[in-house]
Amino acid sequence: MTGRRPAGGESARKIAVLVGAAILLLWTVFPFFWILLTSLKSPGDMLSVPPKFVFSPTFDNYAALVMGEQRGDYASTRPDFPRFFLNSIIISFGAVALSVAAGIPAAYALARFNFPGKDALAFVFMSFRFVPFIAFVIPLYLLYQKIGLYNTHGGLILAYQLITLPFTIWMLRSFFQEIPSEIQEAAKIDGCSWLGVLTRIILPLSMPGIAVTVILGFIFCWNAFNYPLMLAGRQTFPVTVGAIQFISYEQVLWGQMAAATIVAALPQLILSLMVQKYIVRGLTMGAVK
Amino acid sequence: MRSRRGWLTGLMFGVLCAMGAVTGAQAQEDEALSYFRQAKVDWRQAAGQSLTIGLNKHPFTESLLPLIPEFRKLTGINVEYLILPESEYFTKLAADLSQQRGEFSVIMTGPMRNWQFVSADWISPLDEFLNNPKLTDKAWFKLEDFYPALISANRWNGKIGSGVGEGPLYSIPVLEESYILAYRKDIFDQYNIKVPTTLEEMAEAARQVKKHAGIPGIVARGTPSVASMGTGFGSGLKSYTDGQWSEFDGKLNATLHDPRSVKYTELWIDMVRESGPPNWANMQWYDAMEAFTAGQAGMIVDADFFAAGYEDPKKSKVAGKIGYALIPTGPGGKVYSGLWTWALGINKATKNKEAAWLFVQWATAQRTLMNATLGYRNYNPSRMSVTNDPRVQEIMGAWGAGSYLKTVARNLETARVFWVPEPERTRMGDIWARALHEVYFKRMTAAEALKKASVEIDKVIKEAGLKD
Repeated sequence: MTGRRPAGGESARKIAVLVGAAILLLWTVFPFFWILLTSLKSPGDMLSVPPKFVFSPTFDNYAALVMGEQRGDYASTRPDFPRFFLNSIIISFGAVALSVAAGIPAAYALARFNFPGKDALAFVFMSFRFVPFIAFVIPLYLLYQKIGLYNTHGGLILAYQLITLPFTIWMLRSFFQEIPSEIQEAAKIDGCSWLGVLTRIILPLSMPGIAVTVILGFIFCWNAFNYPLMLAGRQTFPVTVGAIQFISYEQVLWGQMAAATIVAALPQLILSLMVQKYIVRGLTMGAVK
Repeated sequence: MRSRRGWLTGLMFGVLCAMGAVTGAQAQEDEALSYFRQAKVDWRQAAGQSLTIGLNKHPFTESLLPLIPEFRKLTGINVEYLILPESEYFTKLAADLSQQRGEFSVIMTGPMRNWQFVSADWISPLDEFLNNPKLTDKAWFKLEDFYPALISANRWNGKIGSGVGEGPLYSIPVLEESYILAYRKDIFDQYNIKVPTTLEEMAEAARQVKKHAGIPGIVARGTPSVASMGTGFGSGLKSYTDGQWSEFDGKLNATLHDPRSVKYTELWIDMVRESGPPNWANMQWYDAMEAFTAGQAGMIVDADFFAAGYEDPKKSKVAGKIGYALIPTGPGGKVYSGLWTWALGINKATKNKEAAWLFVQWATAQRTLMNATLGYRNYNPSRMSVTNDPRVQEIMGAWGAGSYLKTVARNLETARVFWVPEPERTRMGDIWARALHEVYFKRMTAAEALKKASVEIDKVIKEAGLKD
């Protein structure tokens, strides 16, 4: 033990950490802040050089998302946005629910049972994640057109499993493995079946892990762009494809695009805040082996 | 009691207003229907059929959507639509066309896109519909009202390497786009800068603007993509070479390394490097357009109708301060601008071809296109009667103190589709654009970079089976 550092050095260090954290925060939050500002600007303020931080805010961009039609100086847009938003909710929640329902038993089996080809199977699941989407999307496009899944919510939920299911299985598997097998053996000695162990012991203990998986899966689904672009139509487009519709041929409607982005980011934000404490626990859970 | 009466009066007033609005809309719709019923065509011959329309995000598109109920009333045809921005739209469209499933009946296309679709036999020639008196009242539709250059642009005889303006008509144009020079008249006047008529003069003007006004002398598209090539840069190159040069020779060999093309490229890149914006290499069309609109450039050579944005005082810092002129030319003094038209075509795989044609005829009718320009800023009009309408003249005539309309009219006399027709245009253009970056970043000389690009393009053409 060398002696304690002088108090002055300690507080200097604290200040340095604080300043560092502030810079990091600024760096991370600034793009969002900028989008928020853009969404409140009128077209005249949008293009000003140097960029304006002080201006009289307008909610016309947000109004245009739901009202559409010609609104004063704003080029009109059809109010498809509410529908896109609803589509995103249906598809993302559906896809995550299906992934978790299918992923829990799969992850449990891969974590706790021994059977031939186990690692190979786990690898196959993983491989869906690193095959480029274009390898799937063309066959899926043909198949969906033929069997009527094209431009349906159900079809998209199934296609989104390529995004979420491998990820769900691998995440949950690592969380399940964290739980000491002594606990589940004790439960079995007390007369629990395999299913009982899963539902009464494993699931409650890995709630934080499941929460993290659900949130991340939801974010991946919410942000998906390529699959819905190819497999959906106007009736089922999610907000990601909806937001780019503000790039027109003769101008880009930055304000409306920013407003759409802000509204589209809200569900992720709210959901993340709701399960924040789980996320912090869940993220460290996998780290400590 | 009083408050209730007030409430009642308010309600009645509201109802009356609503009725007024409804009857107003009704009158407008009746007027539209009687306009279309003047045509000696049975609009209801395909009643009950359904169409899906693939549309690019565009003011013309915006103008169509509110009118779809009117079309349904006129024809009894149901219309569903899908709108995407250009690049996503063409991705999706190609997927559908290549499968021949006929998801989209009517598509938004244009000359260069048609070449790709015609080569693959994906779209229908429209002459058979136009010449069928059961489907078209030619005297009413007036194909001759469209600018001849635009109709030509949408014709192609299907021969790789030539034949634009000949053969079948594949799509009906809904707007005109050609390329002109827009410059800051206030700055040019203040510092006595000459409006350029040659590339050398343009480089000098750009230098002067940068020196005196402290803003980039010129902005231009610069991303390494085909989209950067055919507008200002390409139109300037064809004009510089008096229309004698094109990117392929008669045998479909790439000629980018031709000495005239090399010389032009050197001058252009030097100008952009010396007097252009620092982020030229990342500039999309909207970056360039917005920089000019924000007063951050002395000149721009790009789409003529960008003027609608430049001249909009609500968002432009330079409205009323702009002059318009033809692109600088070569020794011959004649301009050879590129040309593009958005246009409506018909998917060959669609089952409801007659319904699709009725839609195209309705959507490109004089009344529909007039509404698109007056109500939705669809510039420039593809029909002469729309341009010449006093209401349209009043708007466009004010731009650049009249110099805009004059410039566009003169440009259209010689403007033609920039590209040599061949289905590999996109890949070819991308390679070409990358060569410009090699020069800009001084990794190669213009001669080396363009030679390399020519070799690469020859390989692409060969691999695509377009030549032995």
